[in-house]
Amino acid sequence: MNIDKHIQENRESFDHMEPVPSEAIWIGIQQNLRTRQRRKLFIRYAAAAAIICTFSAPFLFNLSNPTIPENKIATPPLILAQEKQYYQLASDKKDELDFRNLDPAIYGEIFSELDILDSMYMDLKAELTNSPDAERAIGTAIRFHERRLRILELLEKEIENQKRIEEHESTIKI
Amino acid sequence: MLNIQTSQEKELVQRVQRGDRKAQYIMYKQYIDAMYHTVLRIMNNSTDAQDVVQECFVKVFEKIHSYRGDATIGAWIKRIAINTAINALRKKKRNLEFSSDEISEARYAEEEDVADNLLSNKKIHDAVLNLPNGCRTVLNLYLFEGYSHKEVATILEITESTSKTQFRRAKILLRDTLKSKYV
Repeated sequence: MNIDKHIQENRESFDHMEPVPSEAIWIGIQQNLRTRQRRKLFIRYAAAAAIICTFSAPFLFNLSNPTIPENKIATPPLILAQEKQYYQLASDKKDELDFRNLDPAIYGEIFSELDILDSMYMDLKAELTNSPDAERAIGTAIRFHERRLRILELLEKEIENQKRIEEHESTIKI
Repeated sequence: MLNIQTSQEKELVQRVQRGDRKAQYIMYKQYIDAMYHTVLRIMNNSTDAQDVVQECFVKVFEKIHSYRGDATIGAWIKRIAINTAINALRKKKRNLEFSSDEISEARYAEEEDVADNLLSNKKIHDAVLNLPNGCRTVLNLYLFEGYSHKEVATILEITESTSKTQFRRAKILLRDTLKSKYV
């Protein structure tokens, strides 16, 4: 008989000649997808953090520049209240996410980025009293809080996604 | 190739496109045996085949949004598996040589039939794995995967006539292996 004909007639049975280590391959696929997801997640937050750093840098430079004369104009109370409100919103969101219960292997790099942002804000606040233009400085601080809040909201979404994935995985029986 | 997709297949694809992990697993289970054996016949060893199949399914789940339904989902996955395997072979610098030595012109004209007792699937499977990389890959794509010589030529970046010659060479070597091992 002709080999071609034999293979064509028995084509499907050639897909069952060897034992397939499907469990091991599936675990490898899941790990690989998770690693790629973490990398994407980090890149997204690092990019967001970079925007904030770039955005805040000129302002921080102005604050620390000793040649700029001290501003004597009082800051309107409404702007101060807004700044305080945004700061509180971002802080509440951070508490709500409860970083202590999150896996540092997945979110560790994002925590570091947020720590850097926190310390930048502390510097900014410390120098606020010497600002040459207090109103503008507080306006910048408000935008800073808005961005920070946005990062935390994105992080919240990613945590929910991650939870959904883990729930799916726990229901899949191999 | 006919593009017949059932509504169940379409729904499964849509679920995978939404990132549904259960749907991913259903799709994986549906195609893993066929993809593993397709890749094994190209890679020639189980460790490499596992790595390539893993890489293939990661690509499938990441690129599923680009699947437009021009071919069946099975054909689409198979093409990814074959391309990944061929790239892996090339990366490993294993020769994908399309040699034509050792075989005289006269042998190409020989009778192609083989004794029926040699035509066991297991014997053929083992003998195929022992063929040289180049002609084995052509034989796999043409005979096992059903591509035309023109398609094989495109996939392997060779000429159509090289594909035909390598296919004939693979069959001669396959017959020789079966006879020397089992007669």
